[in-house]
Amino acid sequence: MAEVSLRGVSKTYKGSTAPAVDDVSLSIVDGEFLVLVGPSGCGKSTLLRMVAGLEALSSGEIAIGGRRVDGLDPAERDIAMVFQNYALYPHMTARDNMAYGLKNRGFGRAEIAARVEVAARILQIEPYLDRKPRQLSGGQRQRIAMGRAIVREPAAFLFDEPLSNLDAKLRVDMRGEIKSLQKALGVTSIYVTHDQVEAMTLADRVVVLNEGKVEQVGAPLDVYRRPASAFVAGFIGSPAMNLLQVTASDCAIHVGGQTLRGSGALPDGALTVGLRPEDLRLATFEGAARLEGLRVTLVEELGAERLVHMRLADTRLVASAPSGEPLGDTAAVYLDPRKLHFFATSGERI
Amino acid sequence: MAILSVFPLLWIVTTAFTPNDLVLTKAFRLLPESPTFDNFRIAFTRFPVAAWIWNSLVIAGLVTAGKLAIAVPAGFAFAHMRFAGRDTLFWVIVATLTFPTIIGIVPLYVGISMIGWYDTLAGVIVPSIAYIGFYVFFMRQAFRSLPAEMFEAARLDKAGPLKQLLEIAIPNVLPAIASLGVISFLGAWNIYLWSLLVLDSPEKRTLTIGLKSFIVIDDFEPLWGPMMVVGLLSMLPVMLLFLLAQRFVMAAFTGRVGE
Repeated sequence: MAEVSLRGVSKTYKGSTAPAVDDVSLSIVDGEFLVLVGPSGCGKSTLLRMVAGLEALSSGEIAIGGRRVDGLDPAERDIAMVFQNYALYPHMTARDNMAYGLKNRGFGRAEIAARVEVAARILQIEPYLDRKPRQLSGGQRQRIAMGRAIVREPAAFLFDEPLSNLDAKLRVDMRGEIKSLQKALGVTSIYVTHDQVEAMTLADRVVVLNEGKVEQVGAPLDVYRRPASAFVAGFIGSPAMNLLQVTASDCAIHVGGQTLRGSGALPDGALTVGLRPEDLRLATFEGAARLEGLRVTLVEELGAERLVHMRLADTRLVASAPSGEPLGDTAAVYLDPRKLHFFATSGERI
Repeated sequence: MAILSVFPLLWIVTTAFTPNDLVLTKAFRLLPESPTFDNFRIAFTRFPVAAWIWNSLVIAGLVTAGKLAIAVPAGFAFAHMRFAGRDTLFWVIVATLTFPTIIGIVPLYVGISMIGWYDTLAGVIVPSIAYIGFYVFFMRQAFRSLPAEMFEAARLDKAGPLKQLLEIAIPNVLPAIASLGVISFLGAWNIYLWSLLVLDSPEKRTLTIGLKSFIVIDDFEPLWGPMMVVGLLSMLPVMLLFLLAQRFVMAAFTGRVGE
């Protein structure tokens, strides 16, 4: 267990001018579960692979447990990694897969057997230890891959989208297991995912990456409630936050030919207004901040609630509303001014 | 088509057991009228057939071992290791596939004569190993079918490049290596022109070169029967090997090399 710190870490691939990872500095405290989240190509996997030692740094420093490791081989960094496609050795049994790293590190047979047994018990994979990966289901393979990491008793776990290859139900189950396992073991963990639900549910802190840069670092709910940029606002949350391109003047917002008042002091000119679908109410009473004449384009029933997709001129909006209420072809929505987020055209929060 | 393919084979088998003076005097029979092992006796007493078999085995075995010893690690390096000039070097090696081997025969002949390898098995084996472009390409493709993450996991498991090759990569491409071994063995077993140029002494010859001795030895007529005995002997190991490794060879030619 150890602190992991990254200072000014950058990576530019040969033949590319744009950096894949651009000047990232992070400090992950001992025992913390940090999730790197962002869309495909945002640099999150590259960053994780640099911590693992599988990618060289173009610049910057990485330290694990106070020891600088960016010049060390992956095996010397005292980390263990769980890969998206499990990366198990197909010709070895589950037991041998878990034991291989220990054998190469010169552990004795008894010690290896004991560690494998303990990990197998924790992960409930004892019945499968003598099977080869092809004889196991996706979830069982993922457990073996985690077992391979656990037996090493490393300073840090690195997870590279470990649940992406599992079906939806298993993913939810495994998500919970990973979280409780990490809590029980108390090992510093860095977890990469493009799935913001995974990020929200697993993380102590979330790092949102975009085009190689850190957009925001914070506790999941803080990031959700107070996104630092329009990008984060649109990325974190499912369904995504509504982002409306508006113009502001005299403390009023103009959108789709209508005017909203009561949003407080705003700089005049073009800006982006964000509003979570759950904060956008289908108007059943007369409210101050109200948009009218929205065309209902799609209704997605989710059971307890439904998502109502609407259009106002060129603006698209999604509202989350209770199921069962009557709905026509057009609707009016009430916007709670206190729940609005404002972003400059550059994307920064105002 | 099958009959056309099998007919010469049947003729070889029948002739090997037919007295030499009856080979061309009778109409073809599926089974010889009076089967005899005389042709085996004649073949083995008048010619060093045992030495030819040994020479063929040594050449095919060592050429195969040599090719695999180079192509397997080279293929792995081209597939899963990063080093300067990797892709350029790979394509240079692949480009040698377009080079007609016949063009190199004269300089090779001069070269092996200069270093004293004329009339030695080494003179056949070493240059044959050098034609390795296809083998490197084949192994690279086989190793590329294995996910890179597996080797990254091995690096984290403290396995260096040699361990990755021996303990992770090779066990997962054994069918590909086996099929390549069979292909190489069959090719080396049937080397004709180069062996004919390099091997001179009767006891240094291979089975394929030895065959022609039966045509020129007798004043009256070629020793068809003993010749077919040697022909049969030269076919048997190849057929056996192919039957044993048929699954691997078929996998190799249908692109399922990594399975």
